[in-house]
Amino acid sequence: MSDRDEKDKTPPRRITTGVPGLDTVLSGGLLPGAVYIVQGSPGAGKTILANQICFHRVTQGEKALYVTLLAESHARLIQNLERMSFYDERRLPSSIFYVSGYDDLESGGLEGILRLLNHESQRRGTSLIVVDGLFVLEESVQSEREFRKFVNYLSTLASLLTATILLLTNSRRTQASPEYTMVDGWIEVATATHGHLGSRYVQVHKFRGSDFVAGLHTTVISDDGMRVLPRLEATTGLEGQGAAEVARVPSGVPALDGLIGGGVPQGSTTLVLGPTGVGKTTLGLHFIAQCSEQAPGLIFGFYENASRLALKARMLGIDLEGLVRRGAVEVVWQPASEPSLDGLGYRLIEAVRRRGAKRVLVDGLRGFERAQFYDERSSPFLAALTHVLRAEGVTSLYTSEVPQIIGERSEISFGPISAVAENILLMRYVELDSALHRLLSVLKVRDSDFDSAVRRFVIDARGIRIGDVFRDTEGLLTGHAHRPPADA
Amino acid sequence: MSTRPPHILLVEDEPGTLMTTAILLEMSGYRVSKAPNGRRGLELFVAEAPDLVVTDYMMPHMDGLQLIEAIRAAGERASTPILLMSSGLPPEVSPTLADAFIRKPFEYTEFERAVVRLLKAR
Repeated sequence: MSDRDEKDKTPPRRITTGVPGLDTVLSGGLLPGAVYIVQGSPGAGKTILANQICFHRVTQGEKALYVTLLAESHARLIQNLERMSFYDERRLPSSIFYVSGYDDLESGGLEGILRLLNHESQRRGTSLIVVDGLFVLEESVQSEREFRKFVNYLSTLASLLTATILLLTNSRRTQASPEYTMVDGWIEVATATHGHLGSRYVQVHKFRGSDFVAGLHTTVISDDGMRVLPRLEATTGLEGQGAAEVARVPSGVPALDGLIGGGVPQGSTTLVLGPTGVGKTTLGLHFIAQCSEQAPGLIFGFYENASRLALKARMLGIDLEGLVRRGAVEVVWQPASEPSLDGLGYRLIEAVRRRGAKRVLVDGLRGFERAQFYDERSSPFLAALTHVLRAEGVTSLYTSEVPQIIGERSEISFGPISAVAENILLMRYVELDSALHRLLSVLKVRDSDFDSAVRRFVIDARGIRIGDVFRDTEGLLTGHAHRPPADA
Repeated sequence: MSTRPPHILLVEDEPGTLMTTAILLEMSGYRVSKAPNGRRGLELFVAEAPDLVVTDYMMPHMDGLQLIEAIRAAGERASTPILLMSSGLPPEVSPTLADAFIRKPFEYTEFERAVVRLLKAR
């Protein structure tokens, strides 16, 4: 292989953005000497995004020039940035310089803007230039041809100065417009509403010279600036899925372990299905009670907060508060208002990584089901989530409510999680002899034998106690059991 | 006998801030010359000999610091009072280089108080 070939295969240097998640979408970051359009309606987050990148580049020892054109005043802009954690007053004006280009546009037209960018960038040694208000330049030209020439000159300028240029604009013209066809990349930031809920997203439409993760990615804007949550399933490789697990870890209910070959496979995902109140969370608390400081665990719940769970655990003889106090368990409670599927997924993954959790109880899969786009993304999303957790060495247990207290098993919808769950347990009520009984059956343990008999269980001060197999009873899983007629 | 209104040179690159501040100063009875950057500001300073210079810091072509340095080297006019305004306090600017500093965004009354004080101290 020649030196030339080696050189050609060297990946281009990347300009990291400092916007968490965005560099993942951009396969590493922006490219030096390239021109990008950042387009979005007012309030979508263009200004925060651009400034966040400026302040990040400054921490890398670079300088940035921020040119506005009839945008909000610099004073107001900076006032709004001051609450952001990335904002650093000491960087102004030595490393980030805000100027207005309006007078140069008025007096010199588009050429005046090019001269301004060249002059200010060179004398300040900036490697990042932001032009805030591209639409003002569009409005100032007499013809598309003139604007096309300007974008062409701008690309040449970026290349000559080895500067990355971000063009911020409100307007979304046709994709055939010169700015979109001639620039190196087009990143859209936007807001959307779904019913009464609002959301933000980013979408890369074009990115020359590099692959990128296409499609919509949720964004979050907080006092830490913008954060992009790349679609979990689009950025998670699934290689290794289904690898054989041999080690078993105790479920927390010894009698259950006896039914499933000694415990749940380490790193596996267990789905516990059942109607409300049957004992799903109770089983989950047994599972999480096995955690220790050396092998901590996490409860990711949607309905019962830490104090309610602690109370419930205490009634089962489980000292959840003690486990939390010792750092063996963390309870991460999710408000019902979280609309973002990826927001939930990343929060869970980050909590797992932060704690080094080895067990996770997701108490109430419905919390995920309520998130936007769950219906269309649930299968790949859950596959990606379980894959990430498995890669982190986590053994997971999900509880999922089925609507029927009593009814035909065929009416139960297991949902997409059942496709990725290695183990499925069904908890049900059954009516027999004018009394309600709880029963448990193992429906699936991947790559393992299991005892499929339907067993009665009770919940008392010691928690779940699994009893004998129902004998001489039919129709258990319909919920309406009956004794078979005695032989004549 | 008519009194000549104080003449203020206002140097500011943001058109909105330049226009509205100039209008408010004119309504307060001042004569105002406007410059969109330090380079043009220096030209007007030489040509018009204002009583007070009010300048932004971050501007194209010639920034506020360069303008102040040029004025302070302007011979007999070097002591013209200067009010520097900026969104961030420029660390390079010696407190003695400009006569006063006001942080943006500011309330006009606070700004005008600084203007009156500097004009009185001439």
